[in-house]
Amino acid sequence: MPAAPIRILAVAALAIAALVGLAVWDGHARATGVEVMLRIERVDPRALLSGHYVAIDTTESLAAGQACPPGAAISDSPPPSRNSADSELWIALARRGDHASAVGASRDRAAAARFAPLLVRGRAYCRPPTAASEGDSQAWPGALTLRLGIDRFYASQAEATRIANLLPPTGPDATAEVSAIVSIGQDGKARLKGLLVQGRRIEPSLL
Amino acid sequence: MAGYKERLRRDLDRWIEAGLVPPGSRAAILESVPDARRPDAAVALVWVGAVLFGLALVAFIAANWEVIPRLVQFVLVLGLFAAAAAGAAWCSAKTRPNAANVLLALAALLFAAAIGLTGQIFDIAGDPRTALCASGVVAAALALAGRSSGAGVAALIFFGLGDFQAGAPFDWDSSPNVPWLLAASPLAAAVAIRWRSAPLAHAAAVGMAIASVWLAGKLHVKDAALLWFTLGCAALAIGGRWLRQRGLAFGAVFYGWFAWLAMAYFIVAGADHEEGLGLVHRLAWLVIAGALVAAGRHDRLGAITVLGVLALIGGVSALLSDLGFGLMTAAGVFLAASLLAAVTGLALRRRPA
Repeated sequence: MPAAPIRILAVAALAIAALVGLAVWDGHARATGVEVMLRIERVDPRALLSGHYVAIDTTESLAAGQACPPGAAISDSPPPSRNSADSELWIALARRGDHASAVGASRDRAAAARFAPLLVRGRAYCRPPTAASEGDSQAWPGALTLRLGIDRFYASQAEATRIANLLPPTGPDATAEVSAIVSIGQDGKARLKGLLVQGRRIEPSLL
Repeated sequence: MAGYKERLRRDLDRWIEAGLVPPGSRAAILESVPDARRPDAAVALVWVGAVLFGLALVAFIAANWEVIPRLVQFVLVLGLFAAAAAGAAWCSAKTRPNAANVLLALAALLFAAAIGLTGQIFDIAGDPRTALCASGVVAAALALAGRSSGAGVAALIFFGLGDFQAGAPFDWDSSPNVPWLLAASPLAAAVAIRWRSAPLAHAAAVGMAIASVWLAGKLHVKDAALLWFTLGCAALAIGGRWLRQRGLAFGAVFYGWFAWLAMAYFIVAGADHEEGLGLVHRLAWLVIAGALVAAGRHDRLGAITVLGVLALIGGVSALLSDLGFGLMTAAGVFLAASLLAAVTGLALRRRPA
């Protein structure tokens, strides 16, 4: 067996190679994936020890009359946290104008592909809209939340605050001025490329 | 608790006074026994300093997030880790095991920070549990490569933190996750025995305690069936005692932790007095508590004696509650128990070393 100093250096070199490999592989998958825009809501700037980031939530409103996509978990309560133990699904995305929306979900990839060809791994939670009734004269919008593992965009504090101020109010009448630019790889994993803020792309630069 | 050499010094003085040992042999006998290495304030400060230094470096990079280009941040983070590992390798080559140990623990912490910062630098989405367990794997590899108990403890902490991410590991029915501690902590215990490392033994024992609780929950073991866990922990405690009796002082770590855990499982096993083991459990509780006091006194191990006394007080209280005695009786029993605790405490303080 090699001496301890050699062993230590070998472990350190392997660990560094693994991290560099992860960064290169993820960057390649991000660059070669299919790019889609997803609507986001509830953007909060945060400042942690590790830096500043924009917390993003890929949720879109469902106007009265819109149905939840088949396969999404339907509940009137807020969607669970990103660490939920719920099983991942294949979510089918279809382009609607500039943005993509979930149109169906299934545990089986082939079954999900019947809704739309573009598939992403994640969880889908839907709160259906409620129509006005005798007890409640107001109709309430629903919400479709996708948990795709992209919940943070690292940015400078000033930029994060500016993005948060541009956030449209939640509701069916809101116009999304901030969208997530997401790359969907061959593996079905969503990778955040940046944000689209009032038509301007914000993508992190390495240099 | 007095160390072996200190106890030997006092015994020698007594034996010389009794004429059993020639006075001239005293120094030679004492020199033949190596000084027990005990962590002093300086060593503790070095460890605290190393951890704070690592945090300072990470916080410095994070604070300069906006002025340092991302690629430079990445190189800086990896450079810090490489520097700590290279320093540890150099100290190991120069036979400075303590410095190598501290630097390897620092390297383990820096690599965990590097994983988090790499995710931020490149906006890589990831599961926190995976990141923490990857940190644990690298920390364990560094520990084994350089025989570092500090990096070994860090590895167990990372595995434990990973296991305790939301939804795991105690969400038995819905979470498919098996805690890493289930495998990592017994392996760490084996390594601790091989290296004779008390810090690693403490971390391994705590990890095994957590893993055993997970296992009991996963297997839906409850009530009287928990006595099997009691027996398992008791066996491990006896193993620790055996190691200690063979002169391996760190065996006391396993002895203490597993005796406490065995007692806890025993108490929980009979918690349901009406449906469970009934009066037999309470009487056995008292007998075991008395045996623990005796064992603690015999082995001169305060942790076991204290466990015995607390178990005795708890056992009497449980019996009292089960039998439904009146308040006056309860007052008398609790007074007797408090006196017992006080007398035992005084005896421990005056105990000859």
